[in-house]
Amino acid sequence: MKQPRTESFTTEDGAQIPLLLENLSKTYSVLEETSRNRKTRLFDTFDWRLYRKNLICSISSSRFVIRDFAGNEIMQCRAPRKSRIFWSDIDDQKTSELLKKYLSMRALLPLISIEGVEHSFKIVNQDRKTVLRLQIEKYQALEGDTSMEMPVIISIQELRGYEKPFDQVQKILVRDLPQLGQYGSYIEQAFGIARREPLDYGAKFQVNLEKEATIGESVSVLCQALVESMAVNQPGVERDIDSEFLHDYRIGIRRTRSLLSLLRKKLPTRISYFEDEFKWLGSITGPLRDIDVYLLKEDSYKSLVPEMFEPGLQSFFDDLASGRQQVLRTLRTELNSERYERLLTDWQFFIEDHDSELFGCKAHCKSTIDKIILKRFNSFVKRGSGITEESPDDALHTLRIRGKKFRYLLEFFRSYYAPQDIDNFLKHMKKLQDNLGDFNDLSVQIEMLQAKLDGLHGRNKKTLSLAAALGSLITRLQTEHQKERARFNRIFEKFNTESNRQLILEMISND
Amino acid sequence: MKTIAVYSSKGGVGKTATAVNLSYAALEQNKRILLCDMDSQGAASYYYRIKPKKKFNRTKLLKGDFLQFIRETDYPGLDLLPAHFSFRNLDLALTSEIDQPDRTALRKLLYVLEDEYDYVFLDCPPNLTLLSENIIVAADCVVTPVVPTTLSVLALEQLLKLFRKVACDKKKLLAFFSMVEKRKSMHAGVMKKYLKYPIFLRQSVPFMADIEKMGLYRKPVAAGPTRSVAPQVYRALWQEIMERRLKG
Repeated sequence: MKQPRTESFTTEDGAQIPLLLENLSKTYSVLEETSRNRKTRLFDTFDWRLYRKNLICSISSSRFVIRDFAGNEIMQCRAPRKSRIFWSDIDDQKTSELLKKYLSMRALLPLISIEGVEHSFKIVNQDRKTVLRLQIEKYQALEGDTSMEMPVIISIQELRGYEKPFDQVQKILVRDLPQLGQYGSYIEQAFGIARREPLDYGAKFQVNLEKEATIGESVSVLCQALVESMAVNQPGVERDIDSEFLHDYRIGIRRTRSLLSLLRKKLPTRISYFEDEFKWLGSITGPLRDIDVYLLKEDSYKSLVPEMFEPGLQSFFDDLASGRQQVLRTLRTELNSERYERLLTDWQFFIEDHDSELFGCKAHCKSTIDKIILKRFNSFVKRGSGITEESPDDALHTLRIRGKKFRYLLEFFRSYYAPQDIDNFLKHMKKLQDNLGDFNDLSVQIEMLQAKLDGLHGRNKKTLSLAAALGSLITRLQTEHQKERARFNRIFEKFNTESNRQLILEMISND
Repeated sequence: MKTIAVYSSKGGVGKTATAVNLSYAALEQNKRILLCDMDSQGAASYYYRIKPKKKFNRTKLLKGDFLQFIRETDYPGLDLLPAHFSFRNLDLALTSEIDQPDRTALRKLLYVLEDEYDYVFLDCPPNLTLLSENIIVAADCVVTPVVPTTLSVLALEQLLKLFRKVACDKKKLLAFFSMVEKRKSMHAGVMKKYLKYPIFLRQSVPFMADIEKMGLYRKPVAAGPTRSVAPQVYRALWQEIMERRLKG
């Protein structure tokens, strides 16, 4: 059956509305049904996960609503009474499942408020039967003490079986007013006064470098972008909003360390101080991240052990969760320590101030990077080819680290090359990296769980049940670990092809 | 989709008031509802202030070309297929357009609504004809209002006979006492005698001025301007019908 139509129009000029209603009243009986004040808060994750899927999430009158950019309602349910919302906070199963898919571990945060009045009118015929609904919405966007008038929205809604009144009123509106277009772009206007703007943060690293720049200049630009990504995530780490803030913060540290190590020979000796300090930063943020990784795996671990072991495993997660607060407190102290502050000040001077030794590195960056890419690629392939089924696990771990460094290298200097070549190559490399990553994660997990198991003392019921659960889990993880190990050679063979080699060669030879 | 026919061979027993108010009670549970006004007098359409479109008639209905004539009421989620004057001869049309009496014609017609609505209510004209047989076959539940009088009980007995004739499961027939005036000893006597039979619902609908005034306000009682117990009565009646016949 054909669905009744709706259409929306906008006007910047609120004075047009009374005229419009007067105009309609000449032909129809227009009755105001309701007039409601509305306050809507828009939500998204810090990295805009819903916006990237063309979705808009809002809470208004205790209703949690997800719309697409066209304004169609996708989901609606009761809103949780929280300002930080995880998918698991939503009661409605369908909505919660949809959010789980899009948000994963990220929290929805309030971004901006829109407040205003919604007037509903009905247009009735001689029998006083409603034949068309009309809505006028006047909103203003609010951010702190600032506000901004939004264009007025006029919407008409057809009633099934009453096509004519819709056609007639639509004609009048089309003549007098511009159409609303995408609801998404209307909402975007609200961000005109917000501190945030859509897609202002994403985990993907993207920096444009001058092709003629020196190493010093390029490293300065890259490190400023990296330190900026750490700075925007730090408040989220300290306020413990969601685990992804720390994850992204640590990626900033890792990338910085990787860049310094890749170009160590070309950079001033002063960097050894920074290498040590960033290593320290990695070590103080590590314990909290380790706990988060295990807590995020709770469901997956529980699915791996027989149901009877689940209570035993629960005590493992309960212990982790209760110890987490102390670890977070320690991290907060470190992030407010003199040592940290000194590192940031020194680093800022080193990467920004033109008197810094960094800017004395005058070698042409791109030609240096061309050579490093080729050298690193050859060494990576050589090392990988040398790994047989009998090689020790450490060989794979070293290869993983080298692979990651190589990927960072390509991402740092992506703007020097054709982006499609880089993306193409990274796509081929992804499967191999996933395999190496999974293999490493499993090794670390097994080792940690084994240490936990070995450290258990006593024979009380809780300890015995935890020991049984851990034993069962370790066995399952070991099976997965062996599977990943067995897959490596096949996956590496598929990566180590002449065409991939050609891709790298062409990439660095194309200027 | 479940089909509920509000039917009685006797006139003036409160069929239309029942169909109009039950459809509204079902809407209150956030269901998608269609009310089909099968009675050419068009009282249900009148209550919902809906007139049929000019091009609509009996032939269009019987050919299955009726979706475009469904109209939305003032209550989002509740649609109505209005009655047409030509519906007075629906029986003749059913017989003439087919060689043999076809009791399943209506059921086949309603099939296209399967994904569109949760509940379809049929407000039926008072007669005992081939149309009645079609209605009984098409409905998942036949709700019949019975005024607690001898004649009305007789109409119920005739309806049961019709059920036997078309070999329909008697369980889908539910009766309730309508327009009950407790002060009338005849009403009390009839109810006492018959309420023990499982065919009768526990909930009855008293005679109420508010229900009569529906013609004045042209709205279901629950949407009307007066405070009344009538909406609760219809909600309870709907609840009992669902529990007895429509759940699961």
